[in-house]
Amino acid sequence: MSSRFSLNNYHILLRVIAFLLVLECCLVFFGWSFDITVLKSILPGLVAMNPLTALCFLCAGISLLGNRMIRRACASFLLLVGLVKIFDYVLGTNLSLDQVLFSAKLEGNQIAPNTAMEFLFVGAALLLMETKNGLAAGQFLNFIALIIAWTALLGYFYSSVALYRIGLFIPMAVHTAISFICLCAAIFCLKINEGLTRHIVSDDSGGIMARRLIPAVIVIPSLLGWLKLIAQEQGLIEVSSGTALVAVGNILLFGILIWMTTRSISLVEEKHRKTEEARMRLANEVVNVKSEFISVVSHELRTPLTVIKGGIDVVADETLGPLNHDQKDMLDTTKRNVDRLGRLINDVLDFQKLEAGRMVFNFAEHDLNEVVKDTVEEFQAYIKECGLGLQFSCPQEAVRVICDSDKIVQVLTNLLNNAIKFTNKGVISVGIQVGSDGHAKVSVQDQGVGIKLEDKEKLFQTFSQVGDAQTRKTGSSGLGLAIVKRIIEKHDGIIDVESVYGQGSTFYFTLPLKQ
Amino acid sequence: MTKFYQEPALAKKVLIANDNPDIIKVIQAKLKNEYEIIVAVNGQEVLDLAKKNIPNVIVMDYHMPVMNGEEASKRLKADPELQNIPILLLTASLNISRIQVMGVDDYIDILQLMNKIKKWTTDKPDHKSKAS
Repeated sequence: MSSRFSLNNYHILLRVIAFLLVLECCLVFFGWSFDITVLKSILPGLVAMNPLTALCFLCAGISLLGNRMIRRACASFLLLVGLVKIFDYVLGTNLSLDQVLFSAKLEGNQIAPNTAMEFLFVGAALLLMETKNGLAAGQFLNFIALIIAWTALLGYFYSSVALYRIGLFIPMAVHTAISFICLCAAIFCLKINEGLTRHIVSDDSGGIMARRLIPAVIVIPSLLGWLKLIAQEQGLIEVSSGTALVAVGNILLFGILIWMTTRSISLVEEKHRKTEEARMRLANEVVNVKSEFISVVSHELRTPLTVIKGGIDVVADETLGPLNHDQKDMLDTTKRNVDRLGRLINDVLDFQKLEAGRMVFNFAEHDLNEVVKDTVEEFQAYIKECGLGLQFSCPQEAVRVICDSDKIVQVLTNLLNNAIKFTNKGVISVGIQVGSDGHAKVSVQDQGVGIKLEDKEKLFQTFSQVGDAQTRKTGSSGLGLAIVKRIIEKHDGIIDVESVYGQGSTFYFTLPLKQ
Repeated sequence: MTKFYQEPALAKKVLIANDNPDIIKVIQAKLKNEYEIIVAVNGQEVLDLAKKNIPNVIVMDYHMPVMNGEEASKRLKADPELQNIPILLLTASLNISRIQVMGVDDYIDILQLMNKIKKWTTDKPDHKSKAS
């Protein structure tokens, strides 16, 4: 639909009409110059177009093609002509503006009152449409002008003099009426995608409806009325039955048209819906492919790692024969890096799962004291090995929380590893406190390098690198704390850090207590 | 630790269920001096060999052809003759939340292989055991 009604087409229409108006003016002038009736009044006996009217159409044509300045100037001229002529008619004066051109040949021809009115409206419409707030008003005036011109044209069609002639004044010429219809259409085209007309060119169902029905609304009743008139004149039907038949015809034709329009709108919307569904399906597929990818990668990456780890272990514990010091040292280095690779893979996959919402949490009631104590105990030897002290404090009575104990162990492991990594000497303290706000708080305090205030913000973000050199040395994936944060958030807890740079950090997280 | 110190017939039996020959090779190298090793390459074979040999412990892999480790574990635990054999799931994943539903008794990283096998073949199994 949209391609058929592209804005470009409206601009072409606009130019064609403008060109025709200019051409018409030339022809009318030619007609007046050489007394060619066909050019002046189309049919003999009909009223001729006043030369000034022709000049006004020339102006209108130029205004359609010109820039803002030209358009304003031309529109002002139209407005002025209209005003002066109406002024003449109303006050009975004769300023004879329309007697200037070809004055010798005019023989009383002047601009009709409805034509003057038309120029007034069209000029005002063009001027208003150039202003910011007057666009809609201008378009409405233009619409009124269109209706007046259409009425006059129907008058010629139906041979109803009253429709194109006001009182006993001179009537509007037939080609003037046609020209006004074209001019009004062109003026709409000027700013078709703004103001009142934008709904007509829109791509939605409203636009389709308008484009289908508006031409029919103009043509069908006019045509039926004309047929009725002919039939009556021929004595084929009476007035009452003719009027009834016109009504029936309108109902029939509009009924069919509205049904057809509704059907095509339904089809368009169905198409939209199907596209939308297809898009959703595709999105789901992408998610599935992604999660499948994660599981395949996790398996494929871990299996060789298991073999490498196991292989190094078998050699290192001298099951396969004794090793010298250098060999052991090299194996140690290798093992450390394999462990690191394993952690990186786990971090990346965990993070992917958390992001995709595919991480499974097994929430159950646990004693937080026990969970933390078990983890700390497993770190005891390692912390001692690193030359650090360890303190652990917890409440006497059990701290009941709903959590996934494995995930909490993962969080604590991460925090403890960080504490160890960044502390050269001193004590690492792990503590559990029960707050009065219905939360239990677990804290891991170190006496390490601490965190600068400006680094605190990005600490829990993905791939954040707090202190470049440090991070590289300690070999973290940059995902650890981001994963930890998401796990704690899944438990409806919060995680944060308090730190004085150079004096150590305290990471803590909270978990809601079981009510 | 030498070979003739231990009577082969008295050695405890470890059933390894894994379809990766490299992993089997590593585990065999690690355990062969102290345990009798039986290898199954898919879940169905685990069931057959477990019935035939009644191992002291089974080291189970998850991804296997024919029948995966989860299905095999569930079937073993459903068999009254075999349900007391401890099943250790070999995994490198930290995300081990599913072991409860899978019906295995413990999960192990390859580095804990010896310790855990010792624990599950000598002690009274401690069902609350945790991985580090």
